[in-house]
Amino acid sequence: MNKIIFKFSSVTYALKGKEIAEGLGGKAVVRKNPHPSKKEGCGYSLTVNGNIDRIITAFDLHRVKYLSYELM
Amino acid sequence: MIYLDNSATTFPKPRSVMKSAEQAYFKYGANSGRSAYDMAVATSEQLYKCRKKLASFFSAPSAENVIFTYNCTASLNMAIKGIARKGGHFIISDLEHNAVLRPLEKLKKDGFCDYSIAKVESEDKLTVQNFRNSIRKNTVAIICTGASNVFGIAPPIKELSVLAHKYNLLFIVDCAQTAGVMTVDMKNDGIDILCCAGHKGLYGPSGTGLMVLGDDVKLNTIIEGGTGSNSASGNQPDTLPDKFESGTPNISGILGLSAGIDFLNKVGTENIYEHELSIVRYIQNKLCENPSIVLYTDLNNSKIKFSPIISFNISGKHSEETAYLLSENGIAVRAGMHCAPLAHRKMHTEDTGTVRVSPSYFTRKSEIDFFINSVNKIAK
Repeated sequence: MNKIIFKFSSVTYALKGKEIAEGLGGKAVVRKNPHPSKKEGCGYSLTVNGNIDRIITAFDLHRVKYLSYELM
Repeated sequence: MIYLDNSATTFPKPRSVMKSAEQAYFKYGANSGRSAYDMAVATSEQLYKCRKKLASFFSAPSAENVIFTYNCTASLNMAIKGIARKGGHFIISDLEHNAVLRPLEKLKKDGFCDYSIAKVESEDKLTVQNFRNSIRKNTVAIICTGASNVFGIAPPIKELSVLAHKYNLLFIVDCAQTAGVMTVDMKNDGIDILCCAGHKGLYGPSGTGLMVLGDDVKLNTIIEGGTGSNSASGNQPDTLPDKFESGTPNISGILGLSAGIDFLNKVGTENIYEHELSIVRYIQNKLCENPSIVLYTDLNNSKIKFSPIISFNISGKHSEETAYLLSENGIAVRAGMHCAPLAHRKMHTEDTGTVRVSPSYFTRKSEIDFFINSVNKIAK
């Protein structure tokens, strides 16, 4: 189990990601990204507790477009 | 008042729609997709839930393919002008609303695009043939109404989508009169871009509309601006739905629309269609007993599919006069040209227009009996 923070440009994808992550049994919280990088610009973060591989596979399958992710 | 103008906008709305819309002012009062605080995220979540419901309702590829607009006209403008390219050509039916005709006429006058009008026949294969005969090397899309807003005639959408895709054309459908009343399935019907109002058959508040995109449909934007995403960039985002949703959405409208979809899912579109079609057939059967009344369609014709709309005239009277006299009796209908000159040209009703009757799920037989009696009194 990992704590992962995904970054999204759009709240719609963040919420879609939340739905999918929760469907996999993880807990997920959407927040406005408090530390936007200049490169990524402002957007939303999704903090998830779950299996990183399963989540990324599910995101790719459901075309959830994230900018980046970070393992905590 | 007996309200029979649901093709313009549905009235009344289900109580749940009003209550849901109201929540925008008490619970979900923030803008969506902009800020960090709980209410802003919660508001965004409500919009996302509505997108999901609509995606499921129309069998769209995914929630983000559902774009909120302000009405069907805005959706059609976005679709048509988003696809249009210099020297391009469109094909439309002879039943189209001005929401399709006027953008194309403007593009034509500006020397940007051209368009052809294909006749809808009583036999589907003849209709398809007419569209096929209109295809040119520079054709980019076929645009067709799901059903005429004046006469209810429903062209063969599935067959036209097959034709469009055979020639690598995009297929755009104006579902203003069919969404929520007849089954509209993007996947099954082969629709690339679905445009509809939120405030008609979907029972949402006015100021709501949808443009739903099929997979891999590429459109240019006609409006750019703030989306709440990647704000540091001066470029419009390329991701859906943000690409097509600049500015603040109609949050109360979308919340109401969400409840409208719940209502439709509960009642069932097929039940709504059956109810409304039985009403217009009843009207037809009663009105045709009066020799002074002119009808233009035969709803019992099994060769043609109809949405539940009926138009008529009283001999010797302009449609506006009839509608005015009906309104004096507390009956609300629309008369005149219905923003659909092509349809009136087709049916030779340009001089008088027609009186259009369009029921809703809430229309009762007792109201229709009163309406029929009123028409017969006026026709004496």
